[in-house]
Amino acid sequence: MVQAPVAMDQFAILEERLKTVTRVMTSKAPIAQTPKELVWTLNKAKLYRYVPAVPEKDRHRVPLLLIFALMNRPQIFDLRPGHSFVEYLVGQGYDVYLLDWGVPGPEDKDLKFDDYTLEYMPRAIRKIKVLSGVEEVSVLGWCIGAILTTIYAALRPDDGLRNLILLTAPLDFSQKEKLTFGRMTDEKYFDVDKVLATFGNMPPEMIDYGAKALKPVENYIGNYLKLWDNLDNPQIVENWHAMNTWVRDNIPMAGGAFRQLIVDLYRNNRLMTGELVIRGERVDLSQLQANLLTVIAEGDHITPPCQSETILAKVGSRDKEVYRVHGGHIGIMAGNAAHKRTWPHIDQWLASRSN
Amino acid sequence: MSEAEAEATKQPDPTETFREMRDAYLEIWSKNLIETVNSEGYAKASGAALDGFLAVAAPFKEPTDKAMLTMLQQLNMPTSEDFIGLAGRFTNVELLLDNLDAKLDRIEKLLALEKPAASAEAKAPKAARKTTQTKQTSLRAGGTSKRTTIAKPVRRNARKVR
Repeated sequence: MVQAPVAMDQFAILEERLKTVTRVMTSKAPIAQTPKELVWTLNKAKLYRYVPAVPEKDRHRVPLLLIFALMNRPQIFDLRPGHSFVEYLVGQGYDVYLLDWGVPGPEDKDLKFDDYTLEYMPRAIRKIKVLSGVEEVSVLGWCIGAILTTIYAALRPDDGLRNLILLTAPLDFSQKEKLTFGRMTDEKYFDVDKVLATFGNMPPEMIDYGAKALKPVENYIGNYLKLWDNLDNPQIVENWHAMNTWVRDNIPMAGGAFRQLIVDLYRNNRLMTGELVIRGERVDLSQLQANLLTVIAEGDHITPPCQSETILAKVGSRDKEVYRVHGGHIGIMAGNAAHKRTWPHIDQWLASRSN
Repeated sequence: MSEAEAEATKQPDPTETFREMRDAYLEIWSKNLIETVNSEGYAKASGAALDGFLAVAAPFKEPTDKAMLTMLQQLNMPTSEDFIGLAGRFTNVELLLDNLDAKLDRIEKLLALEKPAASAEAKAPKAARKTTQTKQTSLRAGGTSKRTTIAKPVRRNARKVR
């Protein structure tokens, strides 16, 4: 008789927990909430300018452009209020822009790195210069966004690029034994042309599978156990919800760019060997003159540190620095410790070079 | 309540041991699976699975695409190829508009540079004005030769304009 209310309590708690799990797994969290305005478009690409939060006299002079990878949405830069890199930067007085590549359709299957680096990026940067009234710009590229910014910086050193920040940049593909993706996409086992002939663009489900398969237990089991174990902690639940919303929202990668990633980079390492040709121009990394900060995630299983370390010896920049952070590919920027370690370091480095 | 008191009054969690065991088991499992995924055998197997899928998907895709194309053409409706072509044209128009935007921005910038010079010229004494004028003329001749021709009235054949 006495035990009944206790058992009822347990059922009520369990019911509440199940409700929370259902909510966060079946709904989308409100992400990318920092106020912004659309200032330029080309095809599917959109350039946004974040509404400044600091008076003009206190702002840094040089604007900052954020560029993310091609197969995920860039909302990871602005995950949720109180936990957003963009919100942090705007608060620190930067004039922040974001280049969103958009979702490629079947008509974009031939888009290549050539188009992204020599058509879209220079035009977006020109627009930023006009809007900000400053002839210089800083660019931050993350993952494949870092490949694109590196190519652009090497091909257009006189375009006013003052500071270049690379986050978990997969640039060096020489140590093949450390690259799981490299093994999976080896020409012996993976026929990239056949895949693209069937699909046009690289389907998001295949990219998602490839990324999650690198750590199957963590991604398919551990992630959900982490949620279950922390259901009593609203902050962890809301973070998980926001991250899950972003992770599930994958987009296809333009076929031409995917072929270049596999053939030119993963298989032949052409960027580091100086053999990569973009619209007839050879990409010579020694031409890259901008101040360079490369951020390496020590526990990165997608882009192991060996892929980002060697660029420093190749570039022509005189001001260059490597910053190593404990964490994974996404965790260093969107994890719980990002606002204590990675963000302040980037701000500190950039602030002294942005006036 | 101090931290020590809170710790003392904290009820023991009966699932704690189970969780620890579970996490230890998952860690071992994770390490083994990561090694498996990193192996040549896994790459070979996933490649074979993909090839199998493509071998099944490709023969269906081609006839479906052809049938759809024929059907849409017979119904006099636009096909996906038409939309792809249209999208390409839109992008080209956008590129041209962006080029025009860039040119307008350049012109605006040049005009903004000329304005302060013109106002300074109006304020300057007569002797100084002469030198300013010479400088500006030489600048125009060297920098914006195209605009000099626009300033002159150009005779146009009325018929041609029509």
